[in-house]
Amino acid sequence: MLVAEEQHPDMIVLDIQMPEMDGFETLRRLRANPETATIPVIFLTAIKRDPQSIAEGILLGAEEYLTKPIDLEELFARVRSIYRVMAMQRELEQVKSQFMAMLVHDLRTPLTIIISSIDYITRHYGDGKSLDADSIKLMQTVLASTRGMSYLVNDLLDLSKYQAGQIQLNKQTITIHELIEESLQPFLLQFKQKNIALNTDVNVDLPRLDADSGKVVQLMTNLLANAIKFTPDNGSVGIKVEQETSADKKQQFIKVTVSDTGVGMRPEEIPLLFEQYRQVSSAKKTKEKGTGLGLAICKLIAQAHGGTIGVVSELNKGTSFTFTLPAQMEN
Amino acid sequence: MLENDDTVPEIPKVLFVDDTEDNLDLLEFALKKKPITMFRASSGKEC
Repeated sequence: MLVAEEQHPDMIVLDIQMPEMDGFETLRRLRANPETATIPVIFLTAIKRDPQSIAEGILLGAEEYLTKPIDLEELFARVRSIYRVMAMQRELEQVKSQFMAMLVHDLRTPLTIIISSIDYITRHYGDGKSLDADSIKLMQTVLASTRGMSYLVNDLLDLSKYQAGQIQLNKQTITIHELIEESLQPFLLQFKQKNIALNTDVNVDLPRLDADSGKVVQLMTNLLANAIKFTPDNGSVGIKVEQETSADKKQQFIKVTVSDTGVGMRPEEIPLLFEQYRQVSSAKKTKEKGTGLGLAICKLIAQAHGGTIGVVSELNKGTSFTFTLPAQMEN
Repeated sequence: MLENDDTVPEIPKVLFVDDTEDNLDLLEFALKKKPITMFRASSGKEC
């Protein structure tokens, strides 16, 4: 192996039928050598449709195959396709490592706060003295940090369960009104603190749902938390609930839209939004960081119910998330 | 073509391995004006 080691080509086009060392043996050696192990290889066969050689080549790790004589257009198409896959793999690795860095940071930071705070309180109040106002504030920080870690761990557990196909729905007959009310409860204080107006437009006469209330509340909670997080003080958040009928008139859906007057997103960020571990740039700019898992979980919950989720957003104007859930059909 | 694709390097380096020198010559000629840097090896050992 001389040329490949010296030149580090982006790709190798390798003939199968060669004397002394055939293409298969050459590929085995390329893959065994750390210097050349990851270079994509296109096999070159003299015989058209030689399934045995093609299968053996692919099994050994060749990316593609071509038949002689080489069609240059086809060669370029294969090169392009291999590069796309390689670029995607590189991007995936990058996203993974960014996520791991975020995870370590988001777990380590609150842990440091918790340890320092408890250490301080233990040293100063270990003799039975009662806590003063500063120490109580410190304990509140400990509580907030612990909650943050708990959310992160729960999101990770949920996502791994859902991805493993273990999303078990405990369906009950419920109304969307109950779920919205339950979802809003934890945020009422935040609405007040940030002076965010809550505008609701909920049709009173809506069909019931067969849904897992806990999961739908989780979905709504994620959307509301994002809306509040990204909406500046004195902005507004809207909740609109309406009924929708499928095109074939066979299924009715409850359509919920959560909108905000927040920072919004650029159009190129939207396709990444429901991918796990992704955080769009607007999310990175806020004080309160998320895990980048919430919307991936929302999508899995909506899909598990037979519904959908989508988003419309404009930078510096706001964002609207809309999800649908199948409703009970009226008899 | 290759030049217009972000994910593909502007001029990819491709090593062609073929024991028939004529094939490599022909390929080298055909690729002369294409956006590709060609390296050649005429055996698995040389590759």
